[in-house]
Amino acid sequence: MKKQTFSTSRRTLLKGAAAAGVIAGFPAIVRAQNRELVFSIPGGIYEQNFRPHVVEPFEKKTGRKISLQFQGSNEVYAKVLATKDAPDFDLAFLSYPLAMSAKDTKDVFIDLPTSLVPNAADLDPLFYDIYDRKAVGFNYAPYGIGFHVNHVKPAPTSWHDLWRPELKGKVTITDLSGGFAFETVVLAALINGGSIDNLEPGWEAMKRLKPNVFRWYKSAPEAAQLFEREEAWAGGLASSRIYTLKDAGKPVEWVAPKEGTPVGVLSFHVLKNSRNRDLAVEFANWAISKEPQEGFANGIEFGPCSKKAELKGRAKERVPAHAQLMRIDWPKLAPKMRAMDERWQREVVT
Amino acid sequence: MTTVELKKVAKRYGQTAAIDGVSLAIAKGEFVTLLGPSGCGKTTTLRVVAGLVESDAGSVSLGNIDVTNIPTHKRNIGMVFQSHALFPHMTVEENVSFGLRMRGVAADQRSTNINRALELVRLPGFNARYPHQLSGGQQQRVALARALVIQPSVLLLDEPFGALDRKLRDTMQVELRELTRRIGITSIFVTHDQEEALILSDRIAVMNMGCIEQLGTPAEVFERPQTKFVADFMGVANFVPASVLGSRGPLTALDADGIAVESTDAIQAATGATIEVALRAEHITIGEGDAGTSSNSVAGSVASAVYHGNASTYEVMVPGRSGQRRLVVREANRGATGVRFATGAKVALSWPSGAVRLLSR
Amino acid sequence: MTRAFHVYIGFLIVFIMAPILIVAVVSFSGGKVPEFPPKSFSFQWYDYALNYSLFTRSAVNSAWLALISTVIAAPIAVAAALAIVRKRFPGRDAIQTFLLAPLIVPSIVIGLSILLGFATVGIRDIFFRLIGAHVLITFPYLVRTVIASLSRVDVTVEEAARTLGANNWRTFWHVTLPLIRPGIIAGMLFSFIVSFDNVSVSLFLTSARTNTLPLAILSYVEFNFDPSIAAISTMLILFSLGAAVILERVVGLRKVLGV
Repeated sequence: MKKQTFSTSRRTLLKGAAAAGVIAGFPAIVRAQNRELVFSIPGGIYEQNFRPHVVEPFEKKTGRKISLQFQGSNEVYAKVLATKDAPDFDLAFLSYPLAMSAKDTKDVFIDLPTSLVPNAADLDPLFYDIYDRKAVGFNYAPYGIGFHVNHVKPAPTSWHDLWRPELKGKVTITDLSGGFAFETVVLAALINGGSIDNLEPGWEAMKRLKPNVFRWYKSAPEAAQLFEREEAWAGGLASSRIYTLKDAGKPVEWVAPKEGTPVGVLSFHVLKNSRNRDLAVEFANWAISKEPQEGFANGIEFGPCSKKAELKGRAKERVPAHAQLMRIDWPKLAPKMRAMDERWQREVVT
Repeated sequence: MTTVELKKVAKRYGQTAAIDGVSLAIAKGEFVTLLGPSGCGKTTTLRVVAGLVESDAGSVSLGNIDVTNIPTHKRNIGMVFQSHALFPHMTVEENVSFGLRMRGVAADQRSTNINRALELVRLPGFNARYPHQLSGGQQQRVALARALVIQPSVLLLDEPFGALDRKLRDTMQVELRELTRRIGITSIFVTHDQEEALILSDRIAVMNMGCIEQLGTPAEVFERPQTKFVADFMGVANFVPASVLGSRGPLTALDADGIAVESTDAIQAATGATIEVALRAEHITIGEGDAGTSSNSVAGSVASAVYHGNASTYEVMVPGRSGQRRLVVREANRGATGVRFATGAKVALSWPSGAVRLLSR
Repeated sequence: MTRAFHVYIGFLIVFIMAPILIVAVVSFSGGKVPEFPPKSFSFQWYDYALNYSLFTRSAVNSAWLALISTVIAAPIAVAAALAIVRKRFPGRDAIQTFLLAPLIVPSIVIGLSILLGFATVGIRDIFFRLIGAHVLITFPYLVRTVIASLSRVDVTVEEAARTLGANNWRTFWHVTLPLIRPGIIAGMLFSFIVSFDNVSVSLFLTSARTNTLPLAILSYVEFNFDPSIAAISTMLILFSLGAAVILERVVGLRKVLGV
């Protein structure tokens, strides 16, 4: 009996030790919060350009560390709202249309007037005023027409080209979850005599587009795959997807239609209760300055939000300039989004 | 000397009483069987002794110690289940060793005891086998060895042979009887098989609806059932209501629904009282012709005749005061070919007064 | 078994396996984008995935998370299963249903509820938050497999142990536990995979500094289109397959699943 008792207690001890080791070994538990700046950006190629052009020079300049995380806008925004009194993040890096909702949320983010972020004066209004000066745009990804050069002739130049009858069953367009669905309705309205206040021509056009649509893509990788397998010959999508395929040797091309291209924008929002608020503001101001804007935009071939940043070489060829962008009035569009969401599901993708 | 004593033990499940005031005292070395149909409370009684069921009322003592509130694992009992309940993940040796290990018996002492126990159940050398490598009979022997090796104060057996075939069961019964007598262990055996109970037991407790209806030696219970239930359960086929006419010398005279009956049983009941007459089918003699006018005989006609091989069973319709009455007659076949009487044959039935049992209603 | 049935089963297997095989083939592509069939063969995307800290760090996180939540959930699940299968008490069925509820409630709801709940009471510790949530979502899988194997253990075997002098704990330790061990191991494997795989609960509960592999993959595909995800998927599939094979060898998966 004694022996039994001993072995039991020894086992318990071993288990206890193992549990302690397990907890200590879990790298997630970083309890000692050193004063790093924490925010989230997309992983992969985005990080690979962001780090050398934006993060590293800032760290060198200020002597402060930045802890980059890789989470989606929606999750970051949900976490920020749920923990607004003591947030994990110092900055939120949000995309449309979430950023529009963030600017109207009280007590979570601070205003970013030019007195705080002087470099915002160099931003195109599309990337600053549109947020009521509560956020600063960092980069934009243009949304245009991708196409297979062997199948689509002549090359498209206008959004109207997606409606060409010979593209019947060969076009792919975003679904709601693929991003740019609202922009698609708006642009369809704008090129057919409508306006942000009168989207009816846009809805009509979307219905006319249906015979051409092979698939409503649910995510950008799905769209890229449709082009890779040549199941789609043409479609509306962000430029980077097509250029990835083109650089891999696929006979595809991307154009910015003459009526203008809507953009996807990522913007910095500074959290009111950040423990590193001053540093966060300093970083936001830095990120929109000429040097990181130029370095990042030329590296990844996205658009810079600062008017001072210049695109060069291949990036200049591939990224439409500020003047070519379609200026969508998001503050006017935002209240309509819920109704548009329902109508899209009811009338467009059915 | 009493080893096991139950005093007014009761157990209810919701509205139903599983056992309803069972008292039973078992002497050291005695083999007692709880016999009854399913739902009579025999298994519940056994499980109360084991401590696997908590009684609502009454007390249980083992070896003069009140164990009513002592948990099963401290009662020092050995139990054998119908499903043998061997530990499937342990070898025969580990199974038998289990109770010894729980008692902290040293390893060398254990192996001596284990081998002795396995010899006792005639399975020496089976130590390394797993239960699934054994036949049903062998599994039950291991279960027996496992229960006996701890030298329990009482051996509890819950229909241990219920899952075995007839022939194996007969062998195991004889073995168990021999074994328990030899080592002199107090045993409580539960079964619904009256023949098994008769073979094995020193005493039988026939249970019905949560109560012991009769407690006695196998011969007493079989020959002198005290209630209709016990008589029925012990295989008595014929019951006839009868009124007591009075004593005639050593015999009691009765009017069994118009049939004159005499019994050697003495009766407490007053003259004119209505009681029940019980008569075993094999105690009735069947013959040709008329019955005559003496007591303990009646004429009738054969309603059905069934040949069993070593016996034949007849259903004979006899005239009673309240109409035709059916008596079952069983006759051993002594060299006859098939049944002796065909359906419809006129026959005379008779029986000795010693075979007539009188039961209070 | 008719010939038509065999053909039907054959089609079914192809239907289930084809996407997995395609992913595996694509993962060995030598090109820059996922293409099928690949034009050249290489291990470059394995090399890339295994050396990119976004994936490796989050994979380590996911593995620890899955391991810890499984180790925490397993004993609770065994205790719960014991109570449900062996004890009779009022509300037993209701509790059983309640314990399995995380299977029915959309896990995104669980994730968001835990985030809001913990934020309300001021618990910001990632350990409680994330592990608590993963214990919750893995728990039903464990309870189910343990209940299944416990139901097949003959109660009289436990009773026999008690008559032989074993108290409740020793009965459990020497008899019940060895008999349900295959079920527990299988449950823990499912639990590990469920946790490792989870997106919708982790989505809201990872801290700013902690990411899990599925979330890292989601973040990655936002701006990347290359076969590295196929390489990761292939490695995960091989891992699960290996685990299933070991389980089958060691404890007999079919037995555990009761098929």
